[in-house]
Amino acid sequence: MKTRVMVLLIRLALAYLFLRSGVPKVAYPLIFADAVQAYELLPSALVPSVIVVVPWLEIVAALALLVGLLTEGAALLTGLLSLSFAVLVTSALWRGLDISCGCFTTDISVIQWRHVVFDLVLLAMSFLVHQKGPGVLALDNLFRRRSTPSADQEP
Amino acid sequence: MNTLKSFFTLLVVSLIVALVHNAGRPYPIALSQPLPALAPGDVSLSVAKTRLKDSSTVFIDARPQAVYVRGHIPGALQLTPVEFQHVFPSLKDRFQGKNLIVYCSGPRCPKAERIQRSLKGEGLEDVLVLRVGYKAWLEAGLPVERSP
Repeated sequence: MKTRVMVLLIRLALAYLFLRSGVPKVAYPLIFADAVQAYELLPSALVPSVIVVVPWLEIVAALALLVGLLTEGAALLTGLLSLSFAVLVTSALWRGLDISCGCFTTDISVIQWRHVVFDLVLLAMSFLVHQKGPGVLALDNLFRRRSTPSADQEP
Repeated sequence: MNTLKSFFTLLVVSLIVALVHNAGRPYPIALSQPLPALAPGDVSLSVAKTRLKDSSTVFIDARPQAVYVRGHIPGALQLTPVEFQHVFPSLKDRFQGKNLIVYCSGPRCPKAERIQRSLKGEGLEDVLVLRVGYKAWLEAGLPVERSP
């Protein structure tokens, strides 16, 4: 039970962080575009698709984690996003770029190694949720119980 | 298997919501049209913000007077391409030896680039364009100033 509550807290923390990251990017796409372009990695033809789709990947994954629905897939998604962000920031630091992180869009502080550490912490949290399952207070638990009624009846 | 199934379900949902939301925007982002790249003569919003309190940087607003007075980057001087020949001589001394950042309303406005070319034509070397423009500056919640 203790582990399941801990997983719930990690799941909610992930949901909060990804919502906080995704919502401003949807609201301020031009600032997000500016941050994406500053990394000098993506061809300019791809930037519009990235600024339209990536914030919604973050928001949908966050909402799924919040209610504990499709939790394993959502944790995989947040894990992949965190890994991508860590690689992007590392690459920018490696090239000596003096740019804004773009992590929370309106926070335009210059990238530092702490941003990479933060992304790796998010990756670890996602991995944990993926491995341990949704924890308590999750819609996944409800649907699993309904889809396997005989399991509940077993002694 | 369950993980992959739910992962792809979330991917598809995200994609659909993203496309529907973008289509419903007052100014949808054209997916097939590349945004202007951050060229060597451009400055990003994050760097421009750090120059705000730098006395060696002068911001130049290339938008018309009517919109400039409603709000502009603090300390920005107004200079439009149309007025350039008349107004530049009076501002020349304030530009000498400074880092200049020119901006317009947004990335699709060509006036900032025209001012950049004109200033370089006058022998000023350090002239950058804030391509995302004043709209993005506002969206970022950065300080603005109104003219009386």
